[in-house]
Amino acid sequence: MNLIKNIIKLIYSFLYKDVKTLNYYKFHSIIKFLFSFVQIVIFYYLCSIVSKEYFKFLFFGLFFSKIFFFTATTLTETIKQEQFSQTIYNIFSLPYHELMILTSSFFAKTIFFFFELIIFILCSVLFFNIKLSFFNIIFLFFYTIYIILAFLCYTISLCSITVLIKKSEHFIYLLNSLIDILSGVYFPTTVLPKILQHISFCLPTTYILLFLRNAVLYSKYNLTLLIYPTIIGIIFLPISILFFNIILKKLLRDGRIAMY
Amino acid sequence: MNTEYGFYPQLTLKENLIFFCKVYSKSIDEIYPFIDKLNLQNFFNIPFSLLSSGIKTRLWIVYSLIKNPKIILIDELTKSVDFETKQMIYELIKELKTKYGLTILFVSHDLTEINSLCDHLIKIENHKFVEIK
Repeated sequence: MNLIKNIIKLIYSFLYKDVKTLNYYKFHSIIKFLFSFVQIVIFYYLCSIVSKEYFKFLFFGLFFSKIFFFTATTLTETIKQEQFSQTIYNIFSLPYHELMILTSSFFAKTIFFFFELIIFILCSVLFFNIKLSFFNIIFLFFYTIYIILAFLCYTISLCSITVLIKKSEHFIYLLNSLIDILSGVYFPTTVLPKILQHISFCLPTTYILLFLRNAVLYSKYNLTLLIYPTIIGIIFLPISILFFNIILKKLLRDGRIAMY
Repeated sequence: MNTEYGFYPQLTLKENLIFFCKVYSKSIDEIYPFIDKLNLQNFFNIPFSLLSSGIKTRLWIVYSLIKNPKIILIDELTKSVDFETKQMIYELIKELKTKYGLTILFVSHDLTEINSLCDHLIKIENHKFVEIK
């Protein structure tokens, strides 16, 4: 009970900090939104060459990719920002576990991300002819929470890699782009070469994306598709936390945690 | 910790203090007497990155008091501050000692400030205690 209370307190504190920080970066937020919008415009007209059905297929791929990318990179970005601003030692000297501090900051950013997603969905409905029922919107809300929780182990692992190898952005972008391609964000996995299809079937992201498209485009809620990603998420979460703790202890001992 | 860093550079002095007060479940009003004592309220709306070393040092002192400590460790805190700030810090240290009963471990190369502030003195030379008063 005390743990939950502390997490809520930390989330609230980070939310305050993020709101204040956002106030200094209003222009960045507008540009970020415009970038997202322009990206959909490009895909919309590209898809019109193929078919309108393809745009719907691609749109939900992009929706998934947006959530996955946020989940994968936010914790890494958080630690990077703390390194840049040289606040990391001060933040880590708070009377809470380092991972609890980082994940609280992550959850505070998730609240902002939900607003971003709402704008993304609104734009798609208003300008790109995407039809979503009220039930679909509620479903997308819970689906987003599921992705964030299922891939918490992935984001913690990437965070460990970031503090260990330093300047890991390109590695993370490469990894996420490969996962996007292999999971079928842009095209069905059936068009991939046979060997890549085998890799695709091993990725939990493929099943989660398939579940989304089946649910929203065909109203088929095949929950069995989520068994494999959920098991992977549960198994790897304690492993990723252990990995993070080992690396963090080592870096704190060496004094290299603040180095970017 | 280096007093030049440790707070969010784009946030103002007040916003940084409010953030850490929230983390420690405190209200900024509770630490206001120390803010007032160190004359920090005039710098409330200045981003941390634009504050002078002296103000940053004063902010660190106030920050350390948010945690309700029993002991405060101070390592050469007054080395890069002006005379006026030094006096303010000395006043506060004396008050923390007498009024709030805090134990303060004060590390310095300046024997004058040590003599004026400290009840007990330990001189360290070549990693050894050579004098205890």
